[in-house]
Amino acid sequence: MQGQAAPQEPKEPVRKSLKQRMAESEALWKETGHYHGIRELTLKEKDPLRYELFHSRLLSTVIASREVAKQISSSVMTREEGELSFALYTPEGDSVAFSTGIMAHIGVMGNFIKWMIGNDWEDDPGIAEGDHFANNDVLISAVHVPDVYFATPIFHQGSIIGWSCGVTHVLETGGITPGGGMSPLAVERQLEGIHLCAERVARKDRLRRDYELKIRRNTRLASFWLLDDRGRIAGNVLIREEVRKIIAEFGFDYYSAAIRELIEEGRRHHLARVRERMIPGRYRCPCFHTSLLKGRPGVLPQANADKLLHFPLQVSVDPSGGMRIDLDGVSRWGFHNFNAPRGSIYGGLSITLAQALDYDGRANSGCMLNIELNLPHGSIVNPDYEFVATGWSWGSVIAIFNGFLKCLSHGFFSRGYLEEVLTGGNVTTGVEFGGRDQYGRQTGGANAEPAASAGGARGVMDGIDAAWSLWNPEGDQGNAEMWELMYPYLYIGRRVVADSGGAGKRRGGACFESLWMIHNSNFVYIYQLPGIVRIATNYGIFGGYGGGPAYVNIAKHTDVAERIAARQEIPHGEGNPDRPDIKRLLKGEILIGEDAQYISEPLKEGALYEKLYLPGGGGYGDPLDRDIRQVERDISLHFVSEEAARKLYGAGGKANGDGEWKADAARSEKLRARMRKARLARAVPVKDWWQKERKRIASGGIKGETAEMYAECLTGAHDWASEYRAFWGLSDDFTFVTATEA
Amino acid sequence: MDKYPPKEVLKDLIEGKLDWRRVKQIMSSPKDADRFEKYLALMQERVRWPEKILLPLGEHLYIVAKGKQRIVKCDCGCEFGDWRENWKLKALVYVRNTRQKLAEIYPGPRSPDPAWCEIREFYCPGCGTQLEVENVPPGYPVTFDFLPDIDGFYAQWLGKPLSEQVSAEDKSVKVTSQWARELSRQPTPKVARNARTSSAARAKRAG
Ligand SMILES: [Zn+2]
Repeated sequence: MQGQAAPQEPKEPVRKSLKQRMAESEALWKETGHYHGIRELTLKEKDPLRYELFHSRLLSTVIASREVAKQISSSVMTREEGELSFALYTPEGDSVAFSTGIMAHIGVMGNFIKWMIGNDWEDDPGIAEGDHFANNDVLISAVHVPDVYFATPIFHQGSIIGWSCGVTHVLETGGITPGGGMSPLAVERQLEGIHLCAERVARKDRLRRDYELKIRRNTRLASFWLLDDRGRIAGNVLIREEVRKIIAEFGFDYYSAAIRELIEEGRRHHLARVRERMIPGRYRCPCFHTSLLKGRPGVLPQANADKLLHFPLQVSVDPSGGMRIDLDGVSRWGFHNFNAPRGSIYGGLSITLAQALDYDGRANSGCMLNIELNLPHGSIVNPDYEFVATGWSWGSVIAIFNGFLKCLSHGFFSRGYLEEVLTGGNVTTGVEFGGRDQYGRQTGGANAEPAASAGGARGVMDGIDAAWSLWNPEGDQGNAEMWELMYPYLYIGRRVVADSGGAGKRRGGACFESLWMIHNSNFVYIYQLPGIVRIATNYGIFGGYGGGPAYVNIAKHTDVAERIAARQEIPHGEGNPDRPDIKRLLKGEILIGEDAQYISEPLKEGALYEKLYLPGGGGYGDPLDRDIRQVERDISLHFVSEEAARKLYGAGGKANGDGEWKADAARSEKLRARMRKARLARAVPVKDWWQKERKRIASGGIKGETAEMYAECLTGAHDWASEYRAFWGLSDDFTFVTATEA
Repeated sequence: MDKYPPKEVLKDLIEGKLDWRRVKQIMSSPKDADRFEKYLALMQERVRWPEKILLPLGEHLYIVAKGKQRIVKCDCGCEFGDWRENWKLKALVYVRNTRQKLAEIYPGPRSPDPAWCEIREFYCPGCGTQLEVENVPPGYPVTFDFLPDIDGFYAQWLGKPLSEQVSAEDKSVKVTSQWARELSRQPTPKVARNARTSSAARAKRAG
């Protein structure tokens, strides 16, 4: 041990190492099928009130630590968006209780503790009272580089009796372009910026000077990073000190037994929840994402490709309530930033479960114990390249777990719990930027307003408009004025995007857009985190549509300043997507949709950047089954256009004298009957379609990146590949020939 | 407590007639243990045919007992065959795979690229209801969204085993291999004959 003086030895002559204790705990789980071998919930049964009191003390402690950390950090991400979370762990790294916020990290931070234990951190560098260890290395255990973890040991009579951990999303990580390491150009780990690898960054609860210097010299917005660090230390110390008080009150033996009993209870609660709300069986939802890098300026040669990424999600629920999540046939890892190693998948799973199934029980490590993950070796979800880029792992994770929500929803529906049904919501495409700010300083960071983008439709009501994200469900957009203080742009528009929610009997939540004008700077990089493009990607259910691709519009050099001076109309939103206002009203160099996707040269004063946080949420049920009064309401709120109301919902009506659109029930009924007939007339039996499609596949009718995706995913012997060939009646060695092979 | 909501309130909930306050109350309360029984009864009242519903499968679809068989049935009466065969294979399909057809749903720049993504709408041949929508790349197999283990559910979760036990095995391939046999005059394709396929690439694959 280095550093601090060796703590006082208690009665036991030889103390077990954390590594031994972790191995024993795992052996007990394997042997008994109960966490830590706990077969009876003795404390709960003996004195349920005391046990509940104990749990609520822990819970209020972790929630309070989050609030304290929020006030200490002044980063807009942390304070305004709530991009932080805190938790308490057992000595072996299993989570006992956690706060709200970015809960995806709870299990992942536990695995960070386990990694340190497994790699003998106790011997070297040693773990002492007042130490804080930092990590944002995905292959140790993290989700992506901007989410920085601090783990702090909690000692009692010289032994480690637990850990407190906190995470915040830092704004700038010092990567290839300013921002949080999520740049599309960061196609290898080294380009993402600074990595902390289970590093001891603080002693005696103070940041080390050499560490501070490293952050100052290697990131572009160090003051915010270091304030976040102090916030994490404060939160972790608060948990540590409160745990000491709780031990003084309840006794150490009670504490030690109760934290483990809570986890076993969490495990049982999760199984009971599955059995209460779902149906055993096999659920499927193929998920996709896209990475477009081909021919883009600044891209490294090995990354010069466009890719369609494939995540064939299968969820099996067995009659015990156990779950297996399978990604057999998933794309291989690649030189792009969508790679999502185990840690990030684990994180996505835990945050989704915390929202959809385990929300009011004992949400802790126990919930995850009976879930098996099959993540094929060498794939995008389990890469075998140690320098793989993972900056936008969230892109893959959000795509997959929106599909997971759809899988769960099939179960909830069949069981009759329609109020729990939740189709896929927004697949986030945030925006990062940097350069010179309005104060003349170097800046960089993300605007995390898509934390409130759009929710999927539910079984009994519409999706939430301009709110909810899978990764930070309670986050909001943050005040525009706060973002304007932080970054060199002004909001000239922020509004709900009409027709963005997937159409359905219950409509998917509509997303929103922001329109920014660069202000007081002539050097601002802005780029969309690689977004969903070219594909419709979230998922409706039972006949509802998903949302469409995401995009941005950019007006680089225009006459906007002259128009403002002349008090003429300027754009405040997209308007009609076929002829967006930015193009209709302004003259100059204007890029629309996919043309504007990529990072471009730094923008100057007066340039406009219009970010549409598409897609909206997925819809539920046939749009022709939607209550006509709800369509009327949607039109009055400008959430649905009159054209879409007619074409997608079969809603007949017209504007009255006051210009209000009023539905006509009888006309709508007729229109809908006609539309159902038209469907029958234009559709074909699946059999006929199948025969034609099979021919098309066999004769090379599938080309380009789509054929490349299939060729990659059909490589090797696995269930997805054999099922693909069996479905189309192709031979056992059928594959696609791609341009690179030919 | 664990009986709330009663059947008539549940009916309003399912039909979307409860205001948010009451929906929230139901969401935040412990679940009613008899929900499935109430739900089945409500669904059975809703349909006009006599077969017993075993499991609701979608807004309009049910798995029902018909004689000795278990089949998928639409509330309009249209039948989709054995529950272990993907019901979509017996549906009608309309594929949006051109810019124009896609733009009817997703206007302007919101439209997917048909080389990367197509929208498949599955309709009931009986009533023309849109039962499910897929958004997948061209050439993607039809997804079997949910194959329930009905017997595991009834026997182990409800404690009311059905008279006959059937394993929940995916039988969809029976349907497509029948279709393949009907085309059997043609040889089974081995390699997609892309325009760019070279003999070298074939040789490489053969070796
Ligand atoms: Zn029908």
